[in-house]
Amino acid sequence: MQIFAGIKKENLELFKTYRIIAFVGGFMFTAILNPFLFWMLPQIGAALGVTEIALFNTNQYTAIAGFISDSLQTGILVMAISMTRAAGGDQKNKTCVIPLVLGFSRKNYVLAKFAVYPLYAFLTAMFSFVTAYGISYFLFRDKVSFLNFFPNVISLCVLVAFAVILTLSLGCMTGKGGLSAITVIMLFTFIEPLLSGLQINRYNPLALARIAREVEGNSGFIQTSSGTINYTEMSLCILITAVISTILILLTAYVFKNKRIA
Amino acid sequence: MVEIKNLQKSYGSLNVLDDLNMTVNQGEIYGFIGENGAGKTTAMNILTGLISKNSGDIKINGKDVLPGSYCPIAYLPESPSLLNYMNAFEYLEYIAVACNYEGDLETRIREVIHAVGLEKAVKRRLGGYSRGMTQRAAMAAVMLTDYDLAVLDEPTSALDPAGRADMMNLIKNMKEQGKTIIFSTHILSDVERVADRIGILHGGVIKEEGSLSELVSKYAENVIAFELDHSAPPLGEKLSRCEFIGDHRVMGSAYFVKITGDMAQGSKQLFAFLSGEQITVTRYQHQTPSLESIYLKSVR
Ligand SMILES: Nc1ncnc2c1ncn2[C@@H]1O[C@H](COP(=O)(O)OP(=O)(O)O)[C@@H](O)[C@H]1O
Ligand SMILES: [Mg+2]
Repeated sequence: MQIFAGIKKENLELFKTYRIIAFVGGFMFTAILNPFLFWMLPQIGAALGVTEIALFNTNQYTAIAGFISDSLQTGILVMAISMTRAAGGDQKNKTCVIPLVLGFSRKNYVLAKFAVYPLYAFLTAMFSFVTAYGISYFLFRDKVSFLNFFPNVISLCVLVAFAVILTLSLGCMTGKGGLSAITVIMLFTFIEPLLSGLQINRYNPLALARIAREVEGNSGFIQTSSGTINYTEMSLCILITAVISTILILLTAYVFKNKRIA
Repeated sequence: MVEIKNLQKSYGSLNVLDDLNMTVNQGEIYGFIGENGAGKTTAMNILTGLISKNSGDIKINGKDVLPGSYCPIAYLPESPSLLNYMNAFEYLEYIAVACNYEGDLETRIREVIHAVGLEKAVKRRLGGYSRGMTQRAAMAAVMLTDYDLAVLDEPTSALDPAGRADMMNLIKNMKEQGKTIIFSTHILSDVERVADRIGILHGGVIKEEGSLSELVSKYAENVIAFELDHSAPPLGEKLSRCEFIGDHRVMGSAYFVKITGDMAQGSKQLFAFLSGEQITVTRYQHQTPSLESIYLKSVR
């Protein structure tokens, strides 16, 4: 099967070039850093002699909320940058010419990318959450059940997979991986916080970022979070994201099929 | 096998191919020659469907090559880019599976690796390959597919003389297996060595097309060169009296004689004349134009 050749190639590329390290690196960094950071805050507060300010009053909720908020920025930023080669690099350096001209169908060539990266993105987000949860569970005295964060994690994982689909899609269609990474980074570091801040971020894939940050029981450290999740909206957003992703993938396959690559 | 008619291609205001016509027959090696920038790569990219044409017809095996239609062609691009992080075996396996190769993969891969002489480097990263090795690995990928039509863009330009000879042998072997091969080059000696037919691309059109012998006879100048023993008396006077000789030049003991009428007839008469003179002829040769001189004349 042609597509398996592509899947194997993308895997070899990810691991043999060590790009996998950057791919998961941003997420793992925030997953490890946040629990420790929030665990130390009360001690810093105590050392300074302040205890009444909410900032210094942290728990496992705060640690996870911090992790989710950071991974939506740092995590996605590093992940998108690590994907510039996969998204448009093989058109730019022409490594796709030989397989495509020798008979690898263009459709399968791009579909293989979509079969590999979004899955790894989903798993990376999930795994880094488990890490953040594990560390914070170990550090804080008041233990919180894993299930409390379930809707946040699902929103985060779906959104990260979507970010990767968007990066691949823009990159394969334009042949410019850097441009697509920058677009995605802008979307997540500027547009989404802006829309959420204006309270108009609803019923679109980016609304999942807002939902992911709504950590129940969070002591108000993350300002835009009310701590309540609207499950209907969440389900709808996931559905909308799935539909947009499918359209993006089909569109990419179509555009790439008719693209000049030499 | 391949028929290109009135092919036209321009990049903006730059007219690269201007009414290009060429025909490649089944089972032959077609040497596609032209200087750098003549448009060889452009023509080959259009033939393999990588870029679009402005106008013209291309038929492969009688079927129109249309945008979006796919025809299996074993294409070796000009400076092939491989996947640096793979070794040769992994790469060839990738290409074979990606291109639906049916048959015993492992055996076939060993076969092509052996054919291009990369056995010793098969486990090394392609990123560490020299240009010549990269060219060989890419050629292995091309041979792997086993398609009937091979289009090779400057297959020898990155290779040293020994490597070029190897590559030419690979091309000859492909022909023996019944393949049709079009290869472009600006190295004329490669073409002379293996090409059955030649097309000279210049100014966006094929200036000449035909077998080497056809081109030679077309551009032949009917000159015979011969050399005499040093003791022989000068022949100049007598030569200018022969009616089948148009003109002659003498350089020491060497004579260059231009035959006026039919070459075969003139050669016979000249031979008879020399025999009658009772002198020792140390060299006797038809001056055939080299491909280089044919090329230079055709593009002028
Ligand atoms: N993508 C392109 N855009 C603009 N000009 C091009 C492009 N590709 C090739 N050319 C021009 O077309 C001409 C023919 O190039 P090419 O087909 O590569 O020649 P060759 O392979 O015979 O050396 C050159 O003048 C080159 O500069
Ligand atoms: Mg060229």
